[in-house]
Parts: sequence; structure tokens; C-alpha cells
Amino acid sequence: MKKIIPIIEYTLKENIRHKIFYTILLFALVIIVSSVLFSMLSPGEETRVILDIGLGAIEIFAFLSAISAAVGLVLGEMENKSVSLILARPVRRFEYIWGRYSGILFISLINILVMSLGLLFLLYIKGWEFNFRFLLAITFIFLKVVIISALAILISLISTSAISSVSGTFFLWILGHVTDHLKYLNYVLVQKGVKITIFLKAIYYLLPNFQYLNVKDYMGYPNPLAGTTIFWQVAYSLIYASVATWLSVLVFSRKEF
Amino acid sequence: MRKSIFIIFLILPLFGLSVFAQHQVEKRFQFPLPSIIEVKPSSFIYFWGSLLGLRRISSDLAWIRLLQYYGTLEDEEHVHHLDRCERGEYEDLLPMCQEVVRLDPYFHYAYLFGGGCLAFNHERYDEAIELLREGIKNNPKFWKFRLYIAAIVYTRTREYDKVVPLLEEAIRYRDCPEVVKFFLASIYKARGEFGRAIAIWENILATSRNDQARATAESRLKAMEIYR
Repeated sequence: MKKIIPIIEYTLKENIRHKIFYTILLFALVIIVSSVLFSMLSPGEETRVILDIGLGAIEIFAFLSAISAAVGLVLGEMENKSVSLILARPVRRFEYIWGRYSGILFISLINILVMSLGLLFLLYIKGWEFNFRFLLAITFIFLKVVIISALAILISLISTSAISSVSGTFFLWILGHVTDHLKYLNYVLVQKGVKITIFLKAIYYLLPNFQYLNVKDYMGYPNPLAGTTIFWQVAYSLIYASVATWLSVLVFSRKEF
Repeated sequence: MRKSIFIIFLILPLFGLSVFAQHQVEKRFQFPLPSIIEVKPSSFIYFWGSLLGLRRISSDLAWIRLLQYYGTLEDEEHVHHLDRCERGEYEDLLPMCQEVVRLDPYFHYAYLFGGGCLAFNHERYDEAIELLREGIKNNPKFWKFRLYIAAIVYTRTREYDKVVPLLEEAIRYRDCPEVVKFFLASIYKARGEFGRAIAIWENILATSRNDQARATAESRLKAMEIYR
């Protein structure tokens, strides 16, 4: 643990020095503020539009910032061989990966909190009545980032270029939002006599399921989420992310520099 | 090599736990939105929005598009309908409302607005009830849809004595669309209860954020100066 903390600090500092971090944050805040313009087009439902665009912007920009950090830092460090400098010190490979990953999560958390405060301020000005689901939505956005960051690191270790790792992560992000459709696909195929249920089930459990965490898409759902459901959603995200991170450790431990 | 085997033995039970946790979530929770394939959205933007996990934004965009459609004069061929509903027939009003509420089935205001416009502006009672019934199916606890249906049914049978108390209750709520307020005001006016009609228009003028609604209320108030 003692060796992981300096790597987390190093990742944080490196991210904060990056111009792209500020560009993403600034752009997100601009989008959140510009949601006021969209809300003007929707009299009667202004706060809803601001809330939706704001939460959407927070999620997308947190996702972009996590990807840029995961791909830029880990892959970049391997390409310019500076990773050897770190590994030459008494740092084990799993400590390096977990340190990097925790650093990325830390910076994403800061990002999400800053954007959420901006959005809350805007909603407060517009007279929005606070809803507990807002906090749940923000927490679950962070959990999505927890999963996608772990996958982004894994993909950047497997792939050979930044473009392929970014597109691979983006592809997983989309697939994670449509995993439920695999059930429908299975139903259609069974109707046509094609039985690949086991194969589809394997894919279903291998891919991340972001729909569970998409509270911002069903903010108006009348039935509140039960405490045990939230517990299992959080548990699923953390366990899935740790599987992906340990896989990254496995890939990284077999690499030669 | 031993390290790799150790990590693999660590990953396998963790993956089993992840499947177990996912199974536990599935047992307790079903994603409460219809599949985007079932919705069959009219624009690829809504489709992609859903794929990216931005379903409510897609619904908002469809909603803004609906308001733009309903706030714009229809083309020349519909001008002969102007005496009936002032601006046109808006045949796509129901499918556009349905698209909005199928993207987000919990968008209460869209049901109320669509139902109100269809029934009170265009006398398309069946379409209004169809939309509100969909609302009841998706939101069984949201009682205002039932109130609107009752008001629409009485309007259709011209039992205005029964409509008035229902609409008076409806306009007390903040999420009541202006179209319902205008309809109640027009009933008051037709019955000669000018004071009550004026009170509603003044309320719209003072509280509405919709420029068009405010302008209409203002013009109605100016017209009422003749009666005063």
C-alpha cells in the first residue's frame, strides 16, 4: 500500500499538469451552462432539461477524461519507455497498475464532483427541488467510470496504439449499454431455431452491464431502488472492475520492457 | 510463471463473484425502460443517444422537436382549418407525443400536454385518451391522468358542469399545461363568468414561462376589455 500511494500522487499530478484535463473540465462546464439555452426551448420543463443535459455531460466528460488518462498515461508511458524508470525502483508490477488505476479514479472523482457542483448551482438558481436520486445518479456515474477505467487500462495494455485502445473502450461503453438486448437477440434466435444461448450468456456476463447503473435515465421511475439492490449494484461494479484490473496486472506482468 | 498462475486463481473466483452479483441485481431489478428496438425511434440521434446511455436526453430532444412542431404554423394546405384550431391540424401530434413518452415513459408533463392539446385544442378525444391510457399503464400511481381522462370524456359529451370542477382541480397543480387553463377559461367565458376567465388569463400572464402562452393570454385580456 505504501508503494501504491506515491504512484497515485504521481498520476494525480501528471493529470493535473495535462492541458487536456482542463479542456475537458471546461468544455463540460460550458455544456452544463449551455443547457440553460436548451431549457428555454422547453417551457414548463426547464429544470428537467438542465438536469438531463447536465448529468449526461458529467457522464460523457468523466468517461472521456478517464479514457484519456488511462490510454494516455499507461500506453504513453510504455511507448516512451519511461515505465522502465518506475519499474527499476522497488515497485512491483501489480502495485504500478493498481496505483495508476486508483490515481485515475481519484482524478475522475474530482472531475465529477466539480461538474456536479456546477450543475447543482445552476439547478438551485432555477428553483429545482432537490431529489435524492441526483446523488444516486452521480454515484452510479462514478461507478460506471470505475468499470470503464479498468477496462480502458486493460485494452491499452493489449492494443498497440492509442487509437485502437480508445475505439475499443468506446465500443465496450456502447456494448455495456445494450447487453440487455442480448436476451432479446437470444429470444429471436430461439424462435428461428438457432440455439446459441450458452454463447450469448457467456458474452452477457463477460461484458459490463452499464444499464444497471444508468439511474439518470430513469430518474422519474416511480418505484425507489431498494437498499439491497443498490448494494448488489455497487458490489457488481467493484468486483467487475477488480477482475478487469487483475487481468491488466496479468497482461502487464507478462510484458517485457 | 507462478505469479501468473496465482493471479489467474485470484481472477477466477472474482469473476464468479461478479456473475453472482449480477445475478443478484437481475433478481431484484428489471431495467424500467422499453428496449430501444421496441421503441423504433424516428431519428438515429435518439437511437444513438440510447446506445450511449443518454435515453432521457433523447426524450428531451424529441420533446423540444414536438414543441417546435406544435409551435409552428402548418403549411398552406392546412390554412382552411384555421378557424377550428387556429394554427393547423398537426396530424403528427400523437405519434410525436408517443415517441417522447416511449423514450421516457415517466415524462408526466408530456402526457398531460399531449392529452390536453389533442382533446381541448383539436377535439381528438380518442387520441388524447389513448395517450393518457399509456400514461396510466406506465405510471399507475400518477392519478392526474385519470382526472384528465374524466375531463376529456365529459368535454366530449358536452357535460361542462362536470368538466369544470375537474379542470379547476387540475389547474391548481404546478405541472398543469397552459392548454388546460385556456380551455377552462374559455368555458368560463362561454358561461358568462368573465371574472373567473380573466383570473386564469392573468395567472398565465404572471406565471407562465411560455412566451406564446403569455402573448395569447394578453390578447384574450385585451379582448375582454370590451366585455368589462
